[in-house]
Amino acid sequence: MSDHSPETAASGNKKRTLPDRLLSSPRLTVGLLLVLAAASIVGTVFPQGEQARHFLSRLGPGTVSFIGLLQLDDLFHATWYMFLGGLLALNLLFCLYRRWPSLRKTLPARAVFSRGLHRFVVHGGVLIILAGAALSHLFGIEAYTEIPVGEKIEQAFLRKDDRPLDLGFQVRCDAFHFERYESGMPKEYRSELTFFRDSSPVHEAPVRVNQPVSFEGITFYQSDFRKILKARLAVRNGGETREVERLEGQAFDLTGNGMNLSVLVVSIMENFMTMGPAVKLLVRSPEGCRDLYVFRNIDRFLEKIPDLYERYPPFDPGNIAPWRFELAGLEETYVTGLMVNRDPGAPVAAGGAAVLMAGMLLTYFNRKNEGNDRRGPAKKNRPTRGGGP
Amino acid sequence: MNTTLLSGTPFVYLGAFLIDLTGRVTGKTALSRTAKTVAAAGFCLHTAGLALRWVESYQLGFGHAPLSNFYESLIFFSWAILLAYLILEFWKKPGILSPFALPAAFLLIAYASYSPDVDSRIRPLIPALQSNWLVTHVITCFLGYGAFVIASIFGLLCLLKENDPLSARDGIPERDSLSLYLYRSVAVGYVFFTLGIITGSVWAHSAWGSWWSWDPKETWALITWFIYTALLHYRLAGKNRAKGMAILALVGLASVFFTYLGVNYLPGLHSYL
Repeated sequence: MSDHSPETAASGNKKRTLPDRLLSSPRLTVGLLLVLAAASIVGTVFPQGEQARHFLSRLGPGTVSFIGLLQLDDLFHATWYMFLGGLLALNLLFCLYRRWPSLRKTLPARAVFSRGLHRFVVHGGVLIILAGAALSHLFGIEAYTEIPVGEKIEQAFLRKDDRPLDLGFQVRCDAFHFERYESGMPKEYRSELTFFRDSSPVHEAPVRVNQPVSFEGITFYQSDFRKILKARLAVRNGGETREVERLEGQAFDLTGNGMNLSVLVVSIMENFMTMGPAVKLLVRSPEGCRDLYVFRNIDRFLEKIPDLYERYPPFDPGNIAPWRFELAGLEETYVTGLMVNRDPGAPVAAGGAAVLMAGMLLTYFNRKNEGNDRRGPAKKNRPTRGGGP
Repeated sequence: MNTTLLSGTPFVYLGAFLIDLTGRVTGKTALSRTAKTVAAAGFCLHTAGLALRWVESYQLGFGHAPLSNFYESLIFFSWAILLAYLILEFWKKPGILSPFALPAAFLLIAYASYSPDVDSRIRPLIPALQSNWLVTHVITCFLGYGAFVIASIFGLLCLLKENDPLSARDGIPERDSLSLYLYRSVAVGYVFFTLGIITGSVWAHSAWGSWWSWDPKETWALITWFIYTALLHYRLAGKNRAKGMAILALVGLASVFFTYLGVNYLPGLHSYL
């Protein structure tokens, strides 16, 4: 550290240990900041997270283990990156510690400004933000869920490893609205949500982009949506007809004639093999599993291929006797994609940001901060040489 | 109508630049003062254009501040440079910014107005931009950028004066004054830019559910912030402080431009293109 440094001037303590001198050095600060900047550049150029997995699969094992060692594929959470950040925080703490005695002497006089009160506030703010970041990292939850309109969920999935997270309550998506401007640009994405505790509705709220909703400490953000198809099936058994509406992956049971079947909707297709709308079902009975394809317009194909059912029994809507399946129609509906987060660090970081800004404003009360600390305030029209050596 | 005003503005800046240059070449300092006045007039036109654009967006039925797309950001960046330039030139009178600040502002607003790649139509806001934070986030960031551009001009001049630090014969202030101007410009820009990052972070918290997600634009803003933080602390640490700060001011500007434009070529949430 340079002898001209205000640190030395302020503390007046010559018997300082080496680690103390090193850790409170402004050169360390500058060096760490520049190293962090360079490292962060690597993090924006090198693919991170999901994309990195894709990228790594094309590289040799030696390169991959090198990248793994440096954690380049998750650089911003790499141990060494956090270590650099931690070292910067330590450096900051030491600088504040060195300056504290001279500030304390002047408290609560007006001279606190010239003794660097603003520095304590600014750097204190940075430390609080870092503490907020640590809290978010350690105790925060980042999850994701998809709710088809009309459905209820009670789990979300963690973004980092897709593990399910029990919410402890249920959420139903009552409706999803996608509005456009006249020009066709998207205007609004909105999910109408109802929250249930012990199966009874306790809270209703819309979620829009930029307008999240919180329930029991967990916040839901409108993040995504997609269209899906819902199949309307009619199942006849003698004179009886049962209508069911199901999404892909949903199932229903059929009972009758002493049999118990479970029917899973495997896929819903708008145009299957150029034969129009169709649904693929998996029918599970005590005898085993059977595929069944139910077409919207089967008659047209029977005209062309009269022996269709003999050639392809799974296409026969009466193949699972005594039931006869019909596809009454397909309906488009939405699935809303929601971010599901809990972030205990956010209010702390926000507080730190407020302290940081307050400290920066205090700097403007401290004329002495202009130019060089040791040479007093800058004179008008002739800047001091303080900016230089 | 607003684009008519805004596309006329670059010619005023170009005119002011040429007047200033003529003054410097012929040694008539009065011309440099005229150039500043012309630039100030251009700034009024620029401001009127922005205000009109704001009003016209309301007449179109989806009113929002003119800070929402690439065109508007270029126009506002140019405005912020002019603002910082005019404040400094009329207040502290370093007398050396015109040959650099005016062409910089000219290039940005001329590119916005005349490049076929930049769409100047007023568009309604997509859902992600429908937030009260849009205005404060963009204004604070670009006011910061404007001050950083001015700081880089002082940085460039500092390096030019490296061999002749004290002479002011060439019309360039002595190196130490340049260095102090540089420091002050960065200090002002830094406050705005920090506020820009904070407001962006608050906005991200309500829009994306995470106040920091290492999106390339966020990361580059942080890189820029690291560089300017290093610059502000370099004053306490360096041997040849003027030179080091000058170099950091130029590196910082490169980082500002990468934060502004370069990240469009990296995958992320913030893209304009």
